[in-house]
Amino acid sequence: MKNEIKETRLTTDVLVIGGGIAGMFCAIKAREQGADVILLDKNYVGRSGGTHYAEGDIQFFRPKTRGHVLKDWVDKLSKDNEYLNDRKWHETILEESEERYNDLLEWGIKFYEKDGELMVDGPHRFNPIPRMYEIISMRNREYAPSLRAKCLQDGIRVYDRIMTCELLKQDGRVVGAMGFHTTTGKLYTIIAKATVMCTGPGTAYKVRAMNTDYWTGDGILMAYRAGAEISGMEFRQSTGGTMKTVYEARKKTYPGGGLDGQKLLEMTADYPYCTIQSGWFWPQITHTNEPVKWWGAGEIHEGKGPVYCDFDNMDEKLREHHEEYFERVGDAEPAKIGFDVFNGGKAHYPSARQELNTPIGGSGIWPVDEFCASTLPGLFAAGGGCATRVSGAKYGGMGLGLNSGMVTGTHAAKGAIDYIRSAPDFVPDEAMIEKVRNVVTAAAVRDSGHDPAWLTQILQHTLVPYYVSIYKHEDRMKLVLPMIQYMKDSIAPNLWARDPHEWKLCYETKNMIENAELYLKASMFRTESRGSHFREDYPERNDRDWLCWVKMRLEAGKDIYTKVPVPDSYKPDYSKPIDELYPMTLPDVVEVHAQKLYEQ
Amino acid sequence: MPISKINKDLCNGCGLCVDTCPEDVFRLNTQPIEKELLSPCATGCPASLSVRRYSYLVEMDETEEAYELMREYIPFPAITGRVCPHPCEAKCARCEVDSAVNINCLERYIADKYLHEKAEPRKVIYLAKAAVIGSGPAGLSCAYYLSRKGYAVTVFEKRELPGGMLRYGIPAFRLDKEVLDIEIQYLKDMGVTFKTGVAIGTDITLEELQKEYPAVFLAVGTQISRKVKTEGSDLAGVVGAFDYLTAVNAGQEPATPEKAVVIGGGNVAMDAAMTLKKRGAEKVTVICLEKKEEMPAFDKEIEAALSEGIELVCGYGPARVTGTEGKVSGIDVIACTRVNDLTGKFAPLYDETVNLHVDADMICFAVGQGVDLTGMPEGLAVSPSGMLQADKLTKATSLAGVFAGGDAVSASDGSVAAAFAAGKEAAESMDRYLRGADVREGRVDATVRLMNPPKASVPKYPRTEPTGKDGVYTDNEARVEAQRCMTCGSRAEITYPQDCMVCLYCERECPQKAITVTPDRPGKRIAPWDLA
Ligand SMILES: Cc1cc2nc3c(=O)[nH]c(=O)nc-3n(C[C@H](O)[C@H](O)[C@H](O)COP(=O)(O)OP(=O)(O)OC[C@H]3O[C@@H](n4cnc5c(N)ncnc54)[C@H](O)[C@@H]3O)c2cc1C
Ligand SMILES: Cc1cc2nc3c(=O)[nH]c(=O)nc-3n(C[C@H](O)[C@H](O)[C@H](O)COP(=O)(O)OP(=O)(O)OC[C@H]3O[C@@H](n4cnc5c(N)ncnc54)[C@H](O)[C@@H]3O)c2cc1C
Ligand code: SF4
Repeated sequence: MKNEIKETRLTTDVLVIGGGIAGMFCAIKAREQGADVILLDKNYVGRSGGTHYAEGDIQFFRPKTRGHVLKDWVDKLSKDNEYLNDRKWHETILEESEERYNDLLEWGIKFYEKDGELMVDGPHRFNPIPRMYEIISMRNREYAPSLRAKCLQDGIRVYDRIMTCELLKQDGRVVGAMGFHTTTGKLYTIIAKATVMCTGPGTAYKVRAMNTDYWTGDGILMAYRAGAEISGMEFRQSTGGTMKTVYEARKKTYPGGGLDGQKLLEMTADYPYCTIQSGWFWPQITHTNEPVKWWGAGEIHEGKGPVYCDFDNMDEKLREHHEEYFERVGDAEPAKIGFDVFNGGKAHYPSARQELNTPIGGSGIWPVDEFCASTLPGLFAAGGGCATRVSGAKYGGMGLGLNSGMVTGTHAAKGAIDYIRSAPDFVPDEAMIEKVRNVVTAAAVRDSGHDPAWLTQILQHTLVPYYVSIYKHEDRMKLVLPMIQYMKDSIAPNLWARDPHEWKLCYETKNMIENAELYLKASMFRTESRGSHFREDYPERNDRDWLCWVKMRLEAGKDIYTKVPVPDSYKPDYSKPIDELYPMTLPDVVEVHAQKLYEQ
Repeated sequence: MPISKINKDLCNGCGLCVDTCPEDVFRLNTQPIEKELLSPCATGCPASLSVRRYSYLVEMDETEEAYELMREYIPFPAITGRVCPHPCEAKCARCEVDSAVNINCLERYIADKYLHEKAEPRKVIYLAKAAVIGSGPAGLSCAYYLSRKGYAVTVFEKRELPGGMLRYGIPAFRLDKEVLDIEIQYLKDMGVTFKTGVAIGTDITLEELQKEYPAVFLAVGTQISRKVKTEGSDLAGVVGAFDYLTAVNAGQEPATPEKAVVIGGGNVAMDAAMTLKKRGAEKVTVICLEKKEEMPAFDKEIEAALSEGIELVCGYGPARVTGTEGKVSGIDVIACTRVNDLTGKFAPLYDETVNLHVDADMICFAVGQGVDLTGMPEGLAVSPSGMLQADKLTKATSLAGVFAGGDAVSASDGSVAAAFAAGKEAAESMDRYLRGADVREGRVDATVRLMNPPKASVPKYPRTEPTGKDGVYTDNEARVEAQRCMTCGSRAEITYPQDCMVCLYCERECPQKAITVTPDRPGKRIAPWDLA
């Protein structure tokens, strides 16, 4: 690609990176206030991100008409998130959900309805899930493209296929970003008065058969490299995988537990069914409200891992569920991926990728105020990219991803606009831009080097096996971390892009490796188990020491960790019976520990 | 490979898979090899301009490439961007979704962005010289493409200034003459020589010219204003619309009548009427044979005329021009009951019992133009109506080495774009002729296979009207409008199959069901426990 790199420079008030729901909301709201807005996406705004894949469910809080009680609702979320969510944020999100719903209506977004009323619990749910909150659904596959059309009509400058690589920083402030076009290879330098990161969570390692591989954590890593504080890195990999799942899966799949598919199925046979939405499938266990217990034990080696679904020996009731569901959805797709309920056979669940790709991660850029400002002046974050406070230790809750995206997007727009009003003017520092340019274009200008696809594979094989990334133990993490660091220091800097598409892969691979490194480091730091973070060597929750967020920051090449305790008012109500405190009972040891705490 | 196939026969080129794939697996080929895959708009364009390609390039933020691409089809898009009647838009498949893509404004946007680029002098690589007679759009286009190919080109023009109708016909309020001057300067900078004030046939004969220039392009246009021969049609005050416009455009300041009648229902009639009005005529009446909805002039032009206070009398034809003392005083018109016969041939029928008189001190005929072939050699074949005859594809006339195109040739549809296209084709022929190659080989009339345009799946949003300076798009408006193009007739290609993550999104989104994603590893899998 050498010598072919064309360049362009754009200037704007607000730069929004990532065109999912958070990005689109932020752009629209900033534009409403009169700002000039550029909205970038490495894919295609309105057809990418979790946003285009989502079913469109949103938690919808209507105290007046439906009698919802804020405290009950948030209590439930706190319990589900194992008390590491931010109650204040959840309250805000819920309280503002109706306003955002009205925005959507005004912009012509359609919702599923039944008998002329909003359909509660959406068309996708197999059985209504008992909970104290309600979900309504936008018409999936329609709403995101419609939001894009809204952005275009509002005069937002939408740029698709711009893989954003690095933030521009001068005088301690973020003043824009640099990226390139993945089709034309043109380099884009965007100078902005304020920058909002809406790139979604960082959870993907590009393992086949799920669709969240765009979540390579680019935004979080960009911010980290620029010096912003991030948090929740130890949790971010997971949604439904809970300690119990992992614990049980471990017991059953290891020698002694028996590598017996039938057994495993039994273990998880409390009605797992498979929802097929938007081309993906997601087994859920209905009656326990535990999303996918059996995700826990997957591993990368497809077809060789311990998790599979045995349709030949399926429980009758389970088969009925499956068949009814598939008939209703009318989809042939599951069979394509090996899920053939009607014709039997064994489907090998493509494994840990499920565990490693989450609808909403607990990680993200650390927001310092309710207007989503990061610790770096000029940088804001919204949506999955600042999910720490929404997601807590685990999957945040159904219908919360989109909702929090809308609300934080709106907040970030306000934050950015307010910031612009008071921020000093600047002249872009050309020397700094030149430096960043050299970093960004490195993979594209050399004449030889490593293939990013190859490095990605090595990374997958190193990090993704469940005994490293799910069933964590310091010994094993200590073995793997140097490998990842070697990749980061010695291989990633020599990746070579032969065309703009590969250039994107190079950057994503680099980010995934750095993501993996921070994941392991944060996982080692938290010496307890909680939510999706399970440590074999510390299998218990430790409320006394670890009801806190762990922030990380890069300073002079070193990772700085800070523990931020959650406010006392966020903590569990220890006056309640033990089994009501946490979402599920834990393995014996853990229970004992919790019991002790409880008795204190 | 998980993503393995796109059914080429079904793919309509909408590009939804390209936009949707989270792994950047596809590329959109807006110029597939298959020749027949013209987009609907391209079939409407006299120059077959690949609108989908330049729209896509604008969407990709590659306006410079878009400009270069445009110039493969049209030498001076800044001119067509202003005056082209854009028949392409009527054909645009997006009409069936919401409204046509604003092709013309996009053209103008791209063209204006690079209008002031300086030309590089072109290297002359051939000894043989080429001559172009007439400097209207056909001639300018031929000169441009010949110069690009490496020929020394001389343009002969009988008028004082080059440009043909662009200068003397089309009113300045529709085509800024400065734009024309810029483009002519561009040609001069490329190395094209202009000899103005030289009428071929009168000052030099064609035969003489051919001695020095073995290949000649005749692009003399239609310089004679036709009039309807009636009683009184030679009274003073009866003029041809083109003659009047020429006088205005040449700065001769012809006298402005108080009351004027323009005869004709086409765009030239509208231009003449508007010009008269703009120059201070109190009352301007346009009289035409057709009913209002059948008028050949564009609705936009008619609306503009009406809004300027011009009166329209539709369905009448001239019976006699009345006059006093050798000067026009008005015109008697009679109702026209039919314009064309059943075969579509012009054969008006009148009902004399229904008639009108309109007072006027000027009658301006805008009923078509004729070719002036004074002094041209005998052997040059001419149609019964006196137009030049030339091959549709190659533009070759009956004389060896002489090619012809533009308005002067019968069957030309009389537009700038058609003249540009003719000039380009002639340049190709002249190049081949001079090099001794077969003039016809490989040049086929593109047979059109209309695509199945992606109507249903396209989110609706309204056509963008320009708000920028001089009615030109801002960068963002252009990018937004370009995205409305559905790239009909392109081809999605699986460029990076190894990166497919089997999310099946492309398969789902494809409105044509043209995509097949196969399982990651087809066949039943065998796991360790199956073996045991
Ligand atoms: C299958 C699935 C179903 C879900 N269903 C629901 C649901 O029903 N209800 C609900 O509330 N939530 C749901 N979620 C979660 C929800 O989709 C996400 O939480 C939400 O969409 C996040 O929005 P976002 O704008 O923060 O990020 P995203 O929508 O992921 O958008 C991030 C964008 O940033 C872009 N990007 C990333 N890196 C870069 C870069 N370097 N440069 C430029 N652009 C970049 C990406 O291409 C992407 O478009 C679901 C998630 C999945 C995967
Ligand atoms: C009033 C008016 C408005 C129009 N508006 C539009 C419009 O909006 N959009 C559109 O697409 N089309 C429009 N047209 C039509 C368009 O201008 C013509 O189709 C086009 O200019 C034809 O190009 P040409 O090169 O064939 O001929 P011309 O433009 O007529 O050029 C021929 C040139 O050859 C010269 N010439 C003639 N004989 C000789 C000779 N013997 N020796 C040397 N030079 C000679 C002439 O002086 C003239 O300069 C309009 C026409 C008129 C009259
Ligand atoms: S299945 Fe998904 S990843 Fe594969 S080509 Fe189609 S859209 Fe892209």
